[in-house]
Amino acid sequence: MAQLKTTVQFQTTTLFPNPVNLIIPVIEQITLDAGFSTAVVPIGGTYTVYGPTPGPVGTSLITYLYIQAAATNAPGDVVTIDITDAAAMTATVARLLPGNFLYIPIYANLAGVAIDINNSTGTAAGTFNYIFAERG
Amino acid sequence: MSTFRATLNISSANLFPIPTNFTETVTDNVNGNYSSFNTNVLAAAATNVIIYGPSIAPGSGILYFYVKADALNTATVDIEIVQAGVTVSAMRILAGDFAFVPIDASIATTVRADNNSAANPATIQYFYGERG
Repeated sequence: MAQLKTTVQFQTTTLFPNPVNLIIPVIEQITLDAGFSTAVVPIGGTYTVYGPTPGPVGTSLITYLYIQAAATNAPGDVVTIDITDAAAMTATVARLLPGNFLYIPIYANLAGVAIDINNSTGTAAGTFNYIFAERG
Repeated sequence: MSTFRATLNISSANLFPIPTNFTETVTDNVNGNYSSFNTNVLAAAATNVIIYGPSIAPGSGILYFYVKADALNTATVDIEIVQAGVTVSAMRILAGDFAFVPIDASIATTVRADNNSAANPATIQYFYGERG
């Protein structure tokens, strides 16, 4: 059994506007399928990292998805993460700048849920590393 | 200026299926006009707006959004994205879980939290901060 641990830390050296320093670790157990992949999305291209056919799911029905844009991607390109849900509705949920990442738990029991990397307005191919892991 | 630092660590005590151990850390700056920490208690079966897109206009086009479900919640919470009247629901956070999304704020985006319990309230803590 593998373990996925995510830690989020927010800190500031100034009193305003956010006089805070907090660290939140979360540990998840991964008991079903998991994979590490890299996608190179060409100019004008779209790459599906998840779905629309759901993978095996355990009692939790949750698959964790992590996508990180390579730090060397073109900084001005608007590369978005689009999510389509089981009702075939699509939204641009995120924009990944070079080096940035996205982490979401997907309700993976739903057929039709798809996560796409969209480089349709980019000026260069983009590289993305992603992990999916089924909680079980 | 504040920094927002996220670390992902995957480790395994077994050779299969994932014989790996790595840590990935990303540091982002939050120095725009908007940042906020909030706690919401969602009533049973309630759906609350937690970010109302048209009121947020970040300069960089990126709004970092973090939401965590309280570990004591008795039910799941769905995070819904609403754009141009279209609602997309594919994210579900179990008790104690979280999601982190750099929202493309160049698009008017409203974020809602939907308590899937018909009987009990659910607590979420969330943060959003403009990259600047």
